Amino acid sequence: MLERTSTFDVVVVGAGPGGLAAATAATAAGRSVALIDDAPLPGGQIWRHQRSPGKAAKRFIDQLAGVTRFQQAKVIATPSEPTLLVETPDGPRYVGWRSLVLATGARELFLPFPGWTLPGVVGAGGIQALIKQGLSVRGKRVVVAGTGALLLVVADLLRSEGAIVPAILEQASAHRINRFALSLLRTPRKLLAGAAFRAKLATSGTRYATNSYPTAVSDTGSGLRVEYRSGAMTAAMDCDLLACGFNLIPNNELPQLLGCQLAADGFIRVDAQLRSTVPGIYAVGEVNGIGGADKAMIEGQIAAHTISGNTAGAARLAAAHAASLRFVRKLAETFALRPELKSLARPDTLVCRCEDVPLSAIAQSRSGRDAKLQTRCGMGPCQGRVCGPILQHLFLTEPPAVRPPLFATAIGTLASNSKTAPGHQQ
Amino acid sequence: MPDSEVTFTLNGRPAVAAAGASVAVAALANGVKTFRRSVTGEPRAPLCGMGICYECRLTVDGRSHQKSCQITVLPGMVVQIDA
Repeated sequence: MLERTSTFDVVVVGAGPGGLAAATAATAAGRSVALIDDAPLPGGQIWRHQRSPGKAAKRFIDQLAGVTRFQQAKVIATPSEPTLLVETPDGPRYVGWRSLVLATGARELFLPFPGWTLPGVVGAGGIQALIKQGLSVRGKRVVVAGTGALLLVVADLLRSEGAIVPAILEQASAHRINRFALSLLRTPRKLLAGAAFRAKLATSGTRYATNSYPTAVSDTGSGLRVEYRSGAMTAAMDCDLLACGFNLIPNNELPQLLGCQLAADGFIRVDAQLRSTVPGIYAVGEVNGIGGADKAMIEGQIAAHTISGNTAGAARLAAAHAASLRFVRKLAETFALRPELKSLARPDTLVCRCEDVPLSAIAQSRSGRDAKLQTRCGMGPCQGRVCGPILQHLFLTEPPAVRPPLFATAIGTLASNSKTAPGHQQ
Repeated sequence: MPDSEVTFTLNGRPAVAAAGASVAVAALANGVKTFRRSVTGEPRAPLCGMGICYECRLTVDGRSHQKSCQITVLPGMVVQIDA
């Protein structure tokens, strides 16, 4: 059954800072705009907050009046060049675009180590998201582990919500962290935020342990026991929850399906105007490089100005954009993953959580495609979103090729377009 | 009942959650530890919190395999966990 089709001057996928900036700037320039987002409310992961949207988010959301919004909507497939098949709560829809802005954001890289599939082991960004969804962590002991500036943000959030954070296990070296902190002297706003976090942590009883990472976690019956390495020392710590994330990786599945070229690290290749390698398709925010909300907002505006022919508007933002790209490079250097993290998984440690595929079953596979053919690795509901990047990190292999449907979907949505049927070859 | 709370059904019993909470958080707040069993029977619970990993999936209003971290709990909602 063919569902309604509407075509817009600009279609934006993702309603985080980058997508909201693009949608509001494009609608202000008189373009017809549709905004497609997976969550119940706009804001993305960073502004998602059920109690009160932040000031910055509210400023954008107040300007969305003229924008056609699809919330809790997922792009399932790209049946023909300028059209997206979107699954919405009201059923499937075709959404056509003249320009497409991909602001699909990023997700956490999870790395497998013994016990990582236990309930109570959550993402660092994962626990942040759950708190924003209303989770109470009051009185809970939460160890935060992995890498990145996100760990400091999450520890601060946990403490402000009444949790006890005995330690942050940061895999990067003290040397790199200190060099990073010094480099922020040139960007006072970020330095202030960083200094405030560190100062709060210093008075909170939280130990910020660099050169440190979890090696195993087990269920004690009353909670979790985290074994970890800190420098040359190994130790264990009891907690209720382990919040663990090893950097952010781009949500590049839809861009790949649309033919956008990726850089070697998986981020979408863009030029200074945020144009991808496919004409008419732009990529803004974390999906082209991890740099935070400020970078995403600048990029969303530059993309919208470029689409609207406002080259002067785009040019005014060029210097700020260049500065945000320097910050992207600094983050990547500081929090590069140490090689030891590749050997935490044991032969029986699961790599694919959907299909329960252990490391031993895929260690012989030479590529993500091999692993998928031989073991069902990556064939579960998450479509390889968790294990694909793990395989890539552990073995530096090609990830499994992206095929529609992009998300597990209702059969009715698939039936509405034969080209998305499983097994269809383009 | 104050407006800030929502009454829903969890595994056949009445349960209360904060208004605006996700179904995942509503379940956790009511003592649910295991959201699903993996294909080899391991207990699993929310991991990513953002609709990617599918570890939080459960049945909402008769629809199975719903990502509970992406759905806001509503009055009268029927949530079933088969773990």
